[in-house]
Amino acid sequence: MEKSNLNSRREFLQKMLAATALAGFYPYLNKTEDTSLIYGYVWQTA
Amino acid sequence: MSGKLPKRPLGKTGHMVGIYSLGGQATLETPGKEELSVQIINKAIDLGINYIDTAAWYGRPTATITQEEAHGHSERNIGQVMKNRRKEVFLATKTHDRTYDGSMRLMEKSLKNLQTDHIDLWQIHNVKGPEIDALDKFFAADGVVKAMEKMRDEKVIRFIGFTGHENPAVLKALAERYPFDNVLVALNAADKHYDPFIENFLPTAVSKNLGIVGMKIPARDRIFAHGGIITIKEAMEYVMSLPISTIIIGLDDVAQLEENIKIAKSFKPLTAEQMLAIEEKTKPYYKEIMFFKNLSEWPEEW
Repeated sequence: MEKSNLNSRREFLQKMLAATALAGFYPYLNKTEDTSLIYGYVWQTA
Repeated sequence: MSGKLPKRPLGKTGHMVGIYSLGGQATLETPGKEELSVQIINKAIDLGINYIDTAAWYGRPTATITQEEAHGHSERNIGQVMKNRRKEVFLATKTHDRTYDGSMRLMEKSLKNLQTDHIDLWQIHNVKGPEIDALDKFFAADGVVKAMEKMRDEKVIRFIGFTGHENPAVLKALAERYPFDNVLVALNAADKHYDPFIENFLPTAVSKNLGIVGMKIPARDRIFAHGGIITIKEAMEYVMSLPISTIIIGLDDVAQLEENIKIAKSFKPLTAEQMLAIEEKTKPYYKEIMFFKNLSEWPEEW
């Protein structure tokens, strides 16, 4: 995968993981790997 | 098997669903495997599964059983357990008919097959891409949605939804048009390689607070092709890391059930890097995996 595409995909997946946490889908976890990312992200569907 | 199956909210239904659930295809829809099916269903509930998916359509024809006769076979196997354990699970089935009358007839059969007087979730089965131009029929006075509303008003069903594995655009159109409660959608580690549900539909489903149930996780085992590039653990963890409520997988036997339960109980979300690596592994054979998007031949037994 080209580097720019890879970065774009990585960012998208990070948003997905953040959305999963924000949706309360990991209530059984004490911590995640990057809390600043998870709590700082607001899901947008635009 | 120690530990509990982690649970997540099923959209706005109020049900907390285990992250791994029982799919009603594979053994459960195969004539001649009734005893094993009942064993699998009972064991699944014993191990903490609290969501079972089936459909009026599910049932495999054989040399002596036509497709029409096979319909309902999965429901009938599940009904053998539901007659004693109905309160222990959230029960989902589907109508493949798009009309009011046809769907009402299917509901009557589903209730009889499942040996219950109520269904938790009734879904419009297998909404396909070309139907995007015919959605008005779904919502017409003689359409399937009116049947669902009628059954919900009469408390025969509690929630309504839709399912699809072929085309994200039509699922997005449905989600935006009507306040459904749930969607069952094909999501797996090869998804990104062709018209992805994850990018083109999942954000809408999340924003609508739908219950989101992932299917086609191992894609009838095709995701393990070519010497086992992807393991069932990777396949399940990839999808469970997404903002979905639960995943369903059809089973061959009790051993598969126990293995999947073990994976679900120990689940920790993957990192983006791990997900990228799994996606790359599926790239060389994504067309084989995603037969359900009509990219390759369907499995013979389907």
